[in-house]
Amino acid sequence: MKTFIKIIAVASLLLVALMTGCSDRGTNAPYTAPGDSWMYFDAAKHVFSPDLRFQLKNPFELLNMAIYVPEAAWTNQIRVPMLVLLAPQGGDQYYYFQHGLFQMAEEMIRDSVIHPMAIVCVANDQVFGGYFYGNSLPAGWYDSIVGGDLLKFTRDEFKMVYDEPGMRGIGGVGQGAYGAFRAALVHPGTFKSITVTDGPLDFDGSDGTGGFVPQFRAALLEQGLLGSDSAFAKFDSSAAHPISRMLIGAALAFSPHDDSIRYRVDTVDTIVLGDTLSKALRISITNRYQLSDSTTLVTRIVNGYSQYGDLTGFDFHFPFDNTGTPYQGPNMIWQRWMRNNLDSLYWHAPSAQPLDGVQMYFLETPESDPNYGFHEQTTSFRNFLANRHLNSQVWVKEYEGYKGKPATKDQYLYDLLKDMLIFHSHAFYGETQ
Amino acid sequence: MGIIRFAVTLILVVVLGCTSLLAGGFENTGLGVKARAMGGAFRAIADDWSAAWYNPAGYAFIPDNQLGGNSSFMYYRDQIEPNYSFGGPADSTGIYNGRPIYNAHQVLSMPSGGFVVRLPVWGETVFGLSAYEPFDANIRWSLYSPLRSYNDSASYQPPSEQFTNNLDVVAFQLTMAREFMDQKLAVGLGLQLQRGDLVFKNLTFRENPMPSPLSDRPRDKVSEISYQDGNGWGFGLKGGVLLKQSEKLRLAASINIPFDITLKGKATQTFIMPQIFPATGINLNSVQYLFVNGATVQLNSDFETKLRLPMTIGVGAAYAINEKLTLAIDAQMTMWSRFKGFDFSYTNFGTFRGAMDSAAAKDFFTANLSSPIDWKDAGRLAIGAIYNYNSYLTLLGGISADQSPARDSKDFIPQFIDTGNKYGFNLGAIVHIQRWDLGLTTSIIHCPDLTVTDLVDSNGDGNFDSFPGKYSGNTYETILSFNYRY
Repeated sequence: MKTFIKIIAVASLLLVALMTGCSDRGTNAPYTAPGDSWMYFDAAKHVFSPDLRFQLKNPFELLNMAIYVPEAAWTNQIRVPMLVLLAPQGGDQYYYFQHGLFQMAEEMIRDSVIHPMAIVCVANDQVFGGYFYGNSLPAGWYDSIVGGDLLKFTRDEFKMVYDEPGMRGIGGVGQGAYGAFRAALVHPGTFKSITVTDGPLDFDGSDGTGGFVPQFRAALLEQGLLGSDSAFAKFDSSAAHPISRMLIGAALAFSPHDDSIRYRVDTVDTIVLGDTLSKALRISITNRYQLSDSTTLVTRIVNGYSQYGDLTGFDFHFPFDNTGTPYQGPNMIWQRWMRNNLDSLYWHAPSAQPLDGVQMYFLETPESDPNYGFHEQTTSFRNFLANRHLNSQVWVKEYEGYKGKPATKDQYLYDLLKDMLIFHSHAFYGETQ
Repeated sequence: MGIIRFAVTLILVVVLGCTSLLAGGFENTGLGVKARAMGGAFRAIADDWSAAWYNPAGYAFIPDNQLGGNSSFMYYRDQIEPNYSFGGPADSTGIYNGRPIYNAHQVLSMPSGGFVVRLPVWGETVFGLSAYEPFDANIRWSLYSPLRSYNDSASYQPPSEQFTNNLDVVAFQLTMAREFMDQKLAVGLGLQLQRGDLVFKNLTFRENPMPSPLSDRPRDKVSEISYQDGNGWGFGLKGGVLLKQSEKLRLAASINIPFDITLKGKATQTFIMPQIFPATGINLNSVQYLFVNGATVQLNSDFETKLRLPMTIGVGAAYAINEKLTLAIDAQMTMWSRFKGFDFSYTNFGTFRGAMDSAAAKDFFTANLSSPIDWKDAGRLAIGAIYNYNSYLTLLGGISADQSPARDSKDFIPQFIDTGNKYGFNLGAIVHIQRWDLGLTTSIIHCPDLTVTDLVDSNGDGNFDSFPGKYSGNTYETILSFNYRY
């Protein structure tokens, strides 16, 4: 019995040792720290007058923006570079934040994946979804704003932001991609880096028959008006017709017809029998687009009445006839559009090599919605740049969505934003891309 | 001191030197120190109460009454390095990709026991009553935290242990066996009442039914954590034959036929809804708002699922080389292709109000879920030896090869970890003291590493069913047993 007890004792000791060896490893699941109360500035709208004075249904001449400033920069501990992101068609100032920009930037800065940077998110106009950040009375004078007045605004209001081109980047999605390149071409030397997804970067495509040209027919088909004699009289701008709305926005930016604009000053009042009446002041507008050719004129869509009563009467011309063919009439409306094409802006830029030293990153997908033709336009423009033998660097990332969720639009912007932020961060600080 | 030195040496050899095996799938590793130490090559030996598991016919040749039991202490020390990506640029899902994550710590205890008694029924019949756990799975994981951009406030308060499987099937078995052909042939039958208990928790990335941009990345999938806690009863049959071909050779065959068990219980579905801020232009009372407000929606319901247990067929042989040494061999096939995972159907959700009380919302929130498993039938081979060292000590050993039912499976999930074919050898010892047999064995079971690459929707319900990543692990097991002869 004594021997038995000894055996059991030894065995028990070994058993205890073994059980101790099976020690609790605890958990190695990563801890996620709660976010603090820091947020982006969601009401960073600003009056850009006279740049937006005649923009449709924008009586207060506001450019809506939302701005992310890292907390350390806001408390003046550091100065940071600035990235301007332009929203696509229909996107407002929250567009990028709604795709996770704020949380992503906070995490990436915290994890030292990117350098701290301020990010200015500019809204596209909401009336027709956007005006391509173009330059016209009804669309607004974005050439003066993006790359101009906007930078002055941020310089004055956000002192923690570096005011030097090497610390400034711009990017965009869709129309925002066009706007980003447009700003860089109109203001050479202003931006160090550009990141874009597929967008309307070459209006007539690689052979002059692509780009928007097939969209003319698609817009008429979208409305059931292809070949109709009353195609333009019945043209509808509702949100159910996104291609049509895109072309309306482009037409207002590139080929408006502003024969009846009025500007009314509400601050001059007259009291008549107790009622306040506002006085309308008709002012003279120079550089009106008043094409005599009425074949492609669309007159009904921009209503002459506004509840604010301050802007009325913008018509516009489409650059195509009722069969969707580019209109070759005497006023060459299509050529007005093509003057705003990026290749044209490149040739007519203020400097001979407007993109010198600019690092560019194209995030492209062949799955991009063929109804818009943005992918074809993007590759065409990128090939145009490649043939210019620029003294700059171009990176391309081609991506596809996962099975069952193709990347037709901006479904993957969340994932692309990471790449964009990293690219700009590296560009600002001269790091290897 | 000689006996102490010998015992210490023996136990050290057992503790440090032996590797063993897990049975395939979630079949239990076996009962009894004797059988386990022989690698499971016990079908043709079957001479203690644990024959209820291996071959009920063995009871017929047990000369005396027995009361026995064992307890197995198991510790699954597994690890997953997830590589969970939806594909394309969507490489971040909230799963802790690229990090080795441990399963939750727990030492599992699995007791079992039974008695054997010879009664003058139908001549003379040996009866036994035993309770043991033929099937068991128990593992818990915390592998997920919502992306901040998906739901900022939920990202640092993720539900813990989103992947859990605690499946127990306990069999209460009445065994009857008797001899035929003048002590040459024995036939045994086991009638099982089976109790199945299931606690199953799973994270499912549900397709966001909202249109773009509400369902743009990272809100393309809605995180649903389903929790099921239920049980059910079923029946099973065991049958076996044991033939004493000669004084030295014994041949055996047995079959185990479990019937399906319907598991019922309570379920809780927890939806971590996406959060969009600011949610401009979305009506607060709309269905869309449910999918952007970042709330945690929790629903209670009843659930039902079917547990399809596999049939097992085995044959074995034992040969007595001499009075002290007996060799045994065992081959078994387990029909794991019967087991298809779980299809959960939910009912009795209670009353829905507001936007939840709409067809679109109900369709989404009350959808049935499944965790399909695609396993193959798996074979098992074991060779064991018994060496009666002297009257108070029996040494045991065995080697075994165990085929994994999950080979080539695309449905690999953290709740059922079977990373590949396992090979091992086993050593054990039983000390006989008067009427007592006391046994001890301990095993360190090393499982092969497995890399699962594909994220698949194997049943076509729109939800991904596999969990890609690199799986590895070890299992530590210690078994203590006693047997009392009377």
